[in-house]
Amino acid sequence: MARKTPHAIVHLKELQTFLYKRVTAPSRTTRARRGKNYSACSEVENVIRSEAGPGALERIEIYSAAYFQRLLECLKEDFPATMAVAGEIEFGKLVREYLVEHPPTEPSIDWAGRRFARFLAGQSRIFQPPFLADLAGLEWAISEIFVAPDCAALNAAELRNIAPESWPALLLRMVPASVILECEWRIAGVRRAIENSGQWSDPAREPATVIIWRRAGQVYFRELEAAENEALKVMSNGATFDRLCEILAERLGDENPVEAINCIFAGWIADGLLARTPAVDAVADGAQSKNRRARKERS
Amino acid sequence: MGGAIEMMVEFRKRNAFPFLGFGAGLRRPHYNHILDHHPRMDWFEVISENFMVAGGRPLQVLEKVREHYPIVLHGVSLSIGSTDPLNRGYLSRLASLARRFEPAWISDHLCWTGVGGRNLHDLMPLPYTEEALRHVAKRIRTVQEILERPILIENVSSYMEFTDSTLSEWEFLAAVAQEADCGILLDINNIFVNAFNHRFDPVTYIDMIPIERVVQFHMAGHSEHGAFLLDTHDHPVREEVWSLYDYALRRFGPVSTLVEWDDNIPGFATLAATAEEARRRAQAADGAKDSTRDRASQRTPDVSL
Repeated sequence: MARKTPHAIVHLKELQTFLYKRVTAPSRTTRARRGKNYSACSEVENVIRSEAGPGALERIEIYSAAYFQRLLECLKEDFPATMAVAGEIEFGKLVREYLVEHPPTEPSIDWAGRRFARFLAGQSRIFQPPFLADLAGLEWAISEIFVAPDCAALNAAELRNIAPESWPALLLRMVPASVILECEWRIAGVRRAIENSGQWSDPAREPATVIIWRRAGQVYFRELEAAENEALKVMSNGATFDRLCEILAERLGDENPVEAINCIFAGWIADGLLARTPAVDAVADGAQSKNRRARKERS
Repeated sequence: MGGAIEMMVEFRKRNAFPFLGFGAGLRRPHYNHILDHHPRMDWFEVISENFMVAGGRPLQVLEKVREHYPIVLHGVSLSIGSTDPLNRGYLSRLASLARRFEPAWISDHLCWTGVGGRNLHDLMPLPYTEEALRHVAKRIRTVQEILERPILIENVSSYMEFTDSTLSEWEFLAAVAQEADCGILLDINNIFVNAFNHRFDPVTYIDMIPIERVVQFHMAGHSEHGAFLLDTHDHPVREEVWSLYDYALRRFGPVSTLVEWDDNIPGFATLAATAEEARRRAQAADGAKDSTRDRASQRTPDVSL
């Protein structure tokens, strides 16, 4: 059955390495098929049988075409706005170059686009919109947050259970399914416009901070004001509630910032941004048992 | 044949492989319909990698589906034939997923998907050699030890064969299953596609697969692409593939059957109708056998059509 040749690849590892190179470098086999590279052609024919039906090169090109097409489809799904802005043809070219530079290494194809934003940041094509890398960064963050770890969010009732004296030292944390992105361009509006209507206009080149988070299985994003951004960052670094309020008061600059601070906290709670942590549970439980004891004593 | 059926019953009993009936691949467009209506479907097969994530909606959906249906984990990235070391992180995540969702079994493909730490995300065929046979069987045994359960290995569709092959595809599949002591997920459409692409008789293929090892069938549609048939999973099952399924049912008896549809995915009703067609054909094959001999005492206790 086997047709041995003097150059046949004997060992499995050698065969797989050879095929990997052929499948991921379609232009080489195409050139070979056209007769411009006879050595590549005969190498493939030494490895792949072609006594009956289509030739060895035609067979390997099925895998090459499928490789790029499958990954292109995957990246189209992950970066719909990036593709809308770049245009489908240019996006396809970018993806091909990206795959040569950053071939997939993870078992799940869903991770194939993880370096795409960084790759775009390193490109300087004439027709490439300068905000494309920022936009791809936002879209990748949306994909990551979609499957980030679960965590129950704090609700208003749970916060009400916290005794007033526990608030100053309280340590709050954002849910793990959240991330803050620093952008050079105001791309959140572009992503939203494309999502809603397919229409978009060039964003302003202004530093912008975007928060991306998940609530009830759905991923959301919005731009952050400077004060809120700083408060969330210090909160993530372990600042107490007291310290958060100080920062917000400083940044907001109001004489009486309580109302504005309340408004920001209410927003975080409504958005499901604050995690229900053991520390908060302990304080809330403590307050509840204290209330229960008080009620019992009264009765 | 009688002895083979006894061995099949023994193999399935020993490895706790139940007969699940007739199911479909769980795909995103059908999530809401399944969660809202709990439609009739004996079981679902899920792509393991889609749920090997930290959290979010995919896992929530799977939890709800699992409350109502048996499931099976079907992987595409085990890369059992690769010469790279086994990916222990991947196997650990797969084991966690299995502990959480308690699938009836775990399956993957007899292929390699990457080499040198890079992934092609395709099911690449192996050369059918003694070297590949020993290599794959050893790795399946290791995987089964890590997962603490036997797995099923599926025959893949392919568009090339290798000059170094010394065995036929069916000899290779049967020998791997035997040496690794694993089950076989027999994809009937892949046999048909490969028979066309590589010019062999699909009936010979089916005749040479050890009955006792076959735990599951896959049914799917393919498409024509010039001189090739492509395993695209984007069409209804072709009549010729149904005929091959009928033949396989006559040889293997009742086998859990799964309808795969991955592109141009139709409404759930079409999937359900295809699973019902598989059930109808299995009942017909079973009836035909029962009229000539009594197999009831030989059948696995949990088998029902």
